[in-house]
Amino acid sequence: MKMIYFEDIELGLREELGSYTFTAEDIIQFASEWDPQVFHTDPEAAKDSIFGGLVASGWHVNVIWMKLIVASRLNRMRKEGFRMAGGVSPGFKDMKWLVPVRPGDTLTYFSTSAAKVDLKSRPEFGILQSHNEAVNQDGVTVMTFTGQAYMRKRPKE
Amino acid sequence: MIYFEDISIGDKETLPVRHISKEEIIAFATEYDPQPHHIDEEAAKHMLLGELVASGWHTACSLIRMIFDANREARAFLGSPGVEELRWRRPVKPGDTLRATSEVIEARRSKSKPGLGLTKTRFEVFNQDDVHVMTMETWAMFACRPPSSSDRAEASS
Repeated sequence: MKMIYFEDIELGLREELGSYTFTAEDIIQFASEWDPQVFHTDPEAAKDSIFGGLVASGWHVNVIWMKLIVASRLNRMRKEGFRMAGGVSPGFKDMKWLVPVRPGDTLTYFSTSAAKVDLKSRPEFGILQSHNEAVNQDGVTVMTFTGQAYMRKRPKE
Repeated sequence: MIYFEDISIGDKETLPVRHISKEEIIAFATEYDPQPHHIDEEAAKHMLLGELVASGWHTACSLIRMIFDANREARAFLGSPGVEELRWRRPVKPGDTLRATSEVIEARRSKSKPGLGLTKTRFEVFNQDDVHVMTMETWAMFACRPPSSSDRAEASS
């Protein structure tokens, strides 16, 4: 099986991760467990909120990114016969929820390899930064963030 | 009701603790982050971290719930425009009990939207052994106190 190391990653590649439709039921279920603000859980009360109706928790929009990237990567790895040497994340930056996500919205998620950062403390690893977006059915970008993942460097011969 | 004016830089809070069970780790990850080290105890032993650990998104969502549960008094909260930075510092493991602290580090009125204020809060999450597992710096929007609200009448009476 081919191993993909830090050095093998090409920058600037934009990968489509997949699409997901947010139903009212789904929005309420996620938010009831993790983020029970009334504008995420109560369609009636949400009408009087700043959003004027039910909207998905931003964290719901985020975890669907994770769900889709795992599915998309596993799929590609199976199909193309490779493994990524790494993937554990130290965190993310500049998460922006730009536009509310409402029941019936379909988001398509994209991830672009954006930058490579060397680690002084752990020379056998690098950090791959990615630019991530969720775009709704009208072509409006609703969420962006900079993701980060540790990748192992190619072992020295 | 807590309005923007009631929030000051330096305000600190301790959030209620939250227990993270193995069942919850597996259930969350099965839905949103189905990588072997989050869903399969046996497979996790042979991977980078050597044991089953919670998805970082699970830890983040747990913090969001802890923040909600801490806010017993009604707040004029108008949602969040995003997260400046989130760092996963150490893995969260089955049986961990998380605690968190918050500190308001910025507060300013919106230039574009009168009647609205923005706060930036730093959250630090620790496990039962006081190991620092996660940091998040996030923005929140609050309504400013309405000029003739009953709250104001109460406050000045």
